[in-house]
Amino acid sequence: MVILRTQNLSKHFGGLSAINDVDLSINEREILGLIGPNGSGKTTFLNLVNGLDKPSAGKVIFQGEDITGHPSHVLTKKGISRTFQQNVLFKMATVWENVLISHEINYRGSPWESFFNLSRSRIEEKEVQQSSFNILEEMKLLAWKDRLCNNLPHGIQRMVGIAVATAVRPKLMLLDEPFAGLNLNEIGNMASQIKRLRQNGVTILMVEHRMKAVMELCDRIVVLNFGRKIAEGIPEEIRNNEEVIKAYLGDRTHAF
Amino acid sequence: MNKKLEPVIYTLLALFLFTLPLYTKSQYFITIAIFIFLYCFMSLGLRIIMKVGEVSFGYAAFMCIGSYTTALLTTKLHLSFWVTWMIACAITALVAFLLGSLAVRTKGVHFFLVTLAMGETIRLIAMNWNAPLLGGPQGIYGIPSPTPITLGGLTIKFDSRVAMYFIALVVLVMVVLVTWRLDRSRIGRIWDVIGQDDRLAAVIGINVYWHKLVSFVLSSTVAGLGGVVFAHMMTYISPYDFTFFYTMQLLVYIVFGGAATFIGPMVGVTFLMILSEFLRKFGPYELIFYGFVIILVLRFIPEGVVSWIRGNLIRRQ
Amino acid sequence: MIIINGLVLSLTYFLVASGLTIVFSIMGIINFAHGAIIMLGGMVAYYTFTFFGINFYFSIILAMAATAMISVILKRVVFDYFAKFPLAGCIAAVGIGMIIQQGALIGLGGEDKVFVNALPVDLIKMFGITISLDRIIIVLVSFAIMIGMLIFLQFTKAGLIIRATTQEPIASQLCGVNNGYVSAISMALGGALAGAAGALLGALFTVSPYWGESLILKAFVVIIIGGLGSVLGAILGSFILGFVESIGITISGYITFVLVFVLIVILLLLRPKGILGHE
Repeated sequence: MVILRTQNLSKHFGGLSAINDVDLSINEREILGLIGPNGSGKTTFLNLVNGLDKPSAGKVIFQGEDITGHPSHVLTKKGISRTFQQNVLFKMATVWENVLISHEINYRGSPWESFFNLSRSRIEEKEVQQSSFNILEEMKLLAWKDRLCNNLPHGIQRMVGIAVATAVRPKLMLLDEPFAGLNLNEIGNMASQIKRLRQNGVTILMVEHRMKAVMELCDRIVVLNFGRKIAEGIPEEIRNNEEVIKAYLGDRTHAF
Repeated sequence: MNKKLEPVIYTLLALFLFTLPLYTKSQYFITIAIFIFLYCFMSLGLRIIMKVGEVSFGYAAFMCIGSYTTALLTTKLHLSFWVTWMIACAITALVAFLLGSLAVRTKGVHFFLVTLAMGETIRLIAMNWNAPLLGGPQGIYGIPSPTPITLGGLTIKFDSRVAMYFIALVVLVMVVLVTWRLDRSRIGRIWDVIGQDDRLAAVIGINVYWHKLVSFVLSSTVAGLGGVVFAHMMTYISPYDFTFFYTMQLLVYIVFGGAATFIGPMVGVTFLMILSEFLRKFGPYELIFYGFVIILVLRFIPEGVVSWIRGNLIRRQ
Repeated sequence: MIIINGLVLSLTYFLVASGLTIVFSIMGIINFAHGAIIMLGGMVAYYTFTFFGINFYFSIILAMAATAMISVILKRVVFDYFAKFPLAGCIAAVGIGMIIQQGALIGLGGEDKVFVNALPVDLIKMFGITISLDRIIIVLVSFAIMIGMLIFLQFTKAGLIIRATTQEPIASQLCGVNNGYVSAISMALGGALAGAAGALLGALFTVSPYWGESLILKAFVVIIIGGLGSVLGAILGSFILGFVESIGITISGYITFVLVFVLIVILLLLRPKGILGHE
């Protein structure tokens, strides 16, 4: 079952084509890797799927529905969440508060019920608190619960980003370089969290530079170069693909 | 501050304020107190839109709308204050909704400037349009005090300054309660995170535009309410009462006291207003001292006095 | 007639607004003391012209130098501390404006100061209409200053640095641009423009301590229209506002602000950031 499909997706900035005519589809419960040299448009692609940017042409179809150009908050409600390349969190709030507020989309009652402190809202609040606790527990973040996010080490911030994206209860999660800047221990932890997410039914689209992680985790890989899709397939195929190797030749930091 | 101690302090304070007119017959003090209450809840109102990270520089204009509405309804149509205050708030909210739906499309400095422009335009309309109706630059005078209410066999009259004192105090208490409730509820949390990072807020599913609009309408309605109290207290209003300097003054109070807490703005109002009364004896030098106080305090405590005090207390614990 | 009025208004608004927008782009603070600085420029020009008998055009330059210096001092002494707290910085600017205005009131007296005989008051006939010479001179001088500023920004190294920092503050820092140096120059530039505005407008009208405040409002409208952070935007905005007002005044006094309001509403619907604005 295809959960997300893009058709002829393009984004032009003035004279520059960041994304050019990309057709891509992701199957449910798949982990799809999106790789490519720097500047190939990977983050732009995520922005287009996530609603942070409007495409210049083409369509994005999520679960059979055309979501092209819809704003972010609408898409989140439909089940798409994401993390960012930089650590984008509510820096002046604690880890706990970040995860708690991210449940906002899941409340059945309106926020004004909370203003009037109706009993219904208090019950829901307890449920959400339980859910936040569970998420933090599963991600081994409980120790950091009450720390302000701007005081956290990089690796922990990255994990909190995932926790925040999970709290939304997405069907599709877009991860933007989750392994960036992590040390060996943290990489292992991140990888197992991603696998756990997939086990819980979440589909994952992962942009990443760390090839080892990509090769191990992803079911399929799509390669972009200069905004165009140049290859698609299972990891072994991509590893041996001439075009891909040529595109990366300038980038010797990536060992296949 | 010990969390258990706070409600006690606030209750004692409320008690004190409600019985103040018994201790002093001085019109001067009563009037100052009324202004302090007025500016306190006005600054709390402005703080509402600041929670979502925006500053509405046209705030005074909504006070203008509230004032003019109640003034016109009571002087020309001879409606009772108890009816007009509600109509004034409703109209202010409506205008805020219409203007806000456009203004909230902008952010940050642009929002600031746009609300400024809207505010000044409203004021200019009050000044220049239809002088017979709106009074032109002279404004409207002869605004009556609230009509007496009869409860059981008791008739309460509201034509004294002390009566306005209580009305202002009651409004202040209402706004304080609303603000307090707002801060603690989901709405307050949502608005808080919008103020921190509205892009991330959108990504986690919050409809930022809608929330900003609601916040703007609520904030402006408080201003309208302030306008109502102002009109009936002064019995005379003119467009010169609602320039953006007044909004700026409120901002000074808020930033000085600290916009993050909800007593911050009130502390700012009280301290600075009392300070300026005290400095009045220095004549033209008053504003110079005032300016220096503001600059020096902000230079060392940019987050505001109350936030700083809270911060230090937490560190000591 | 409309054209001349339009030009006068446009160029003067430009002088008032450009300083504000430059300072904002670099310092991130809306300098609420800008009005007071303009007033100071006017005062310096007035006093050097009236009491020291200095040639009027030279007194304009003196005013510009004075306000440039004062602006840089203000930056070092006050604004630099508020880099992380823009809102508090704006309020501090309010405080400064207050101090300057009151200081002027106390020290220089509150009455309107008239530049006697600074500008020729003759009327001349051009293109079949009667125009007063003083307005033409104002237009010419303002225009000259505007061109001078554009040349500075476009062709000198300092100007290039300012333009780069306005558009990409982080990238400029990475390139090794000394931000302190850049902000000092931009404050000086902004201050100089304010001083010129004060001197010229003061000569055309009068100078008094609270005069700067009322000008600031127009500056804000210009910036809304043209977009913040862009000098070209300030030019565009001032011309649009200037001509709209000029047309409005000719038709009827009240229409003006209605026109401006409609303009702003349209702008908000189409381009909320202002025509050429960016963060």
